[in-house]
Amino acid sequence: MADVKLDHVTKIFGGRVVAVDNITLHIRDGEFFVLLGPSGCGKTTTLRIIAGLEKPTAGRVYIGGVDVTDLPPKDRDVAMVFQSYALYPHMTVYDNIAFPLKIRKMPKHEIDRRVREVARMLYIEDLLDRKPAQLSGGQQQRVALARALVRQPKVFLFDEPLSNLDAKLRIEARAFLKRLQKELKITTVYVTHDQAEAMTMADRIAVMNAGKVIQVGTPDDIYWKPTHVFVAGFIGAPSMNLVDVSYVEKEDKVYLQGPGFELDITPLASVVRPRLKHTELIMGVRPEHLEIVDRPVDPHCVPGEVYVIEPLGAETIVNVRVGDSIFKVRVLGAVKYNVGDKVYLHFDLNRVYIFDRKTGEAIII
Amino acid sequence: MRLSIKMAIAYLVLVLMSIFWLLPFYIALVTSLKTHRETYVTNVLQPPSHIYLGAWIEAWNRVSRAFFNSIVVSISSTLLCVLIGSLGGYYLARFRFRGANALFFMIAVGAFIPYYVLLIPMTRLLASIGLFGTLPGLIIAYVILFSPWAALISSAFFLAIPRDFEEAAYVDGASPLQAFFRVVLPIALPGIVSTTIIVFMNIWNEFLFAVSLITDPTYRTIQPEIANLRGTTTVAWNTLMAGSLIGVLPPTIICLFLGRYFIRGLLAGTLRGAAR
Repeated sequence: MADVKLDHVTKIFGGRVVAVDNITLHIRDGEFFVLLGPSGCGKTTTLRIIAGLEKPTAGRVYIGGVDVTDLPPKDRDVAMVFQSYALYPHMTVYDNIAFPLKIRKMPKHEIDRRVREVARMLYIEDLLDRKPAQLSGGQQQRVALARALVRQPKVFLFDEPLSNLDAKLRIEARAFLKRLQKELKITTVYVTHDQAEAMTMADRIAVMNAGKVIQVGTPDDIYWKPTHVFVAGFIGAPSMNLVDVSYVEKEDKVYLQGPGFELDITPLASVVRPRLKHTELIMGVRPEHLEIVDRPVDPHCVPGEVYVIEPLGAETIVNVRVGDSIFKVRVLGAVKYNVGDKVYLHFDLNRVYIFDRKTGEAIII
Repeated sequence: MRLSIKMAIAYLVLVLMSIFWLLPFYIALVTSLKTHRETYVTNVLQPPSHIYLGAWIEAWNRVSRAFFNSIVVSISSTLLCVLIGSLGGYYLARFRFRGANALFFMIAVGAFIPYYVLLIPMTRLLASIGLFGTLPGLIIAYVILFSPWAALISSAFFLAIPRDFEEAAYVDGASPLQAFFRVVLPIALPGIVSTTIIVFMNIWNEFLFAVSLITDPTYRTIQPEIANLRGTTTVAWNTLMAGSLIGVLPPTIICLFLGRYFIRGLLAGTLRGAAR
């Protein structure tokens, strides 16, 4: 049991490429912490720095309060599951799982007891005599997990462990991993680019981009209160509608003016106006927070036309063209509209996000 | 199934090439089974009138000591070369350090330099440490000559192994040496076997150093001893051929038994995953 602290950690490769840019994070004891971001954002490098596989260019790493920055991986008491699983191909499943214990010169009977215990827990008892090449992807993943679990490490590190599984298995494994982590209460750092994985599994998420941590928070925080347009656009499927708009005051009303439409946001004016640095903004609204109506029900409606309908069974994604922009709208079940229908989009102003176009930072959350 | 003209020509060429390659072995074999007189009066391609084993017995009696000397020298120097070379090759393949490229370049130069250039320096070196004319001296010479080869060849195999394996071993608690011997080396086994075969063949077949560094007949190795079989006044072709066939026996046996590994190893760099 231990917490993990990254204190102003930077990693520069080859003197030029900044992979991790001055990151400070505190991962709490027993927490399921997800590093989320697009490929190349530095999340895997951050994980490897915690593991000791990369040495940070600057900054310190603490595990359980101990400065481990200069310790090799073997002395950090962390276990890692690799994206490729990295099962030793020349060893049986049993020997793979036993390897970390054998290296530590644990007595044979104790190794045997632990290997069998963890194999039972992960339902791979029948596979102990096989070689990794004879296993399916899901089985390999469990063996990799067993090898990490068998040592009862201070910290678990996962590098996209589910990305090699097919979609169905991935969803099963997600639930399984989450429950396992909650039972064992081992501090876990989990790297993924899949926002659904992050949202479903994490206690807290750090959203990363271009080597920087953009926002840290619970899945709820990240979804409901994105502090940056990058986070807003990255979380959610389909992703948030983001449109470049200008802030316009006319008479005693306030509008967000987009290409070919304007939205009355007068009730928000008192919140928005003091925080404005300039009038160039981005408006964001999630597909699930838009409503299609036949006629304007209040001033916060804009006229549009049904452009594309994407039925998904339980829900339908309707693309509505408003001026020169397309808004995706999520509707439960089937829709009564047809392509080309004239409709109105109703905006719930409590669910409209406004970001500064230059800095990307949220103006109202 | 009818053979197309193209296939027929291909087979014809293959058969001709096989004959071309096997002919020397055939001649060596039939000559070794003839009597001394018969080797001079019959055509080289003609089989012996009856099987005569005298030449084989004669050849074995004369080369057996050298044969065992060669076994000792070849096996011990091959093992040392592969041990030193594979550690070096692994380091070259995996670790980026200051001067890595310069070192790689120097090893390559060491490997590709025409090796007879080193004959005089090697003679002086061995003489200065009192090992000239001894089997340990010859072994040291071979280790110096062939470990750069082993390093270069094996580094290619190590490069084909994904880094994840040793990183997993590090996180699992292994030191770099433990990771090498318990994880990397077993995975690289086909490549190591190929390296071993290549180095062994080179050492077994080496003539120049063997004839120059060993003066005492007691310590002579097989290649110079086979050359001696020729005799001084007349050439005893049957004995010479029998001795030569004895000389190619160990490499042939190794290829037959380890050939599978050898092919897999040679493919390791080209086909991803073939080494696993």
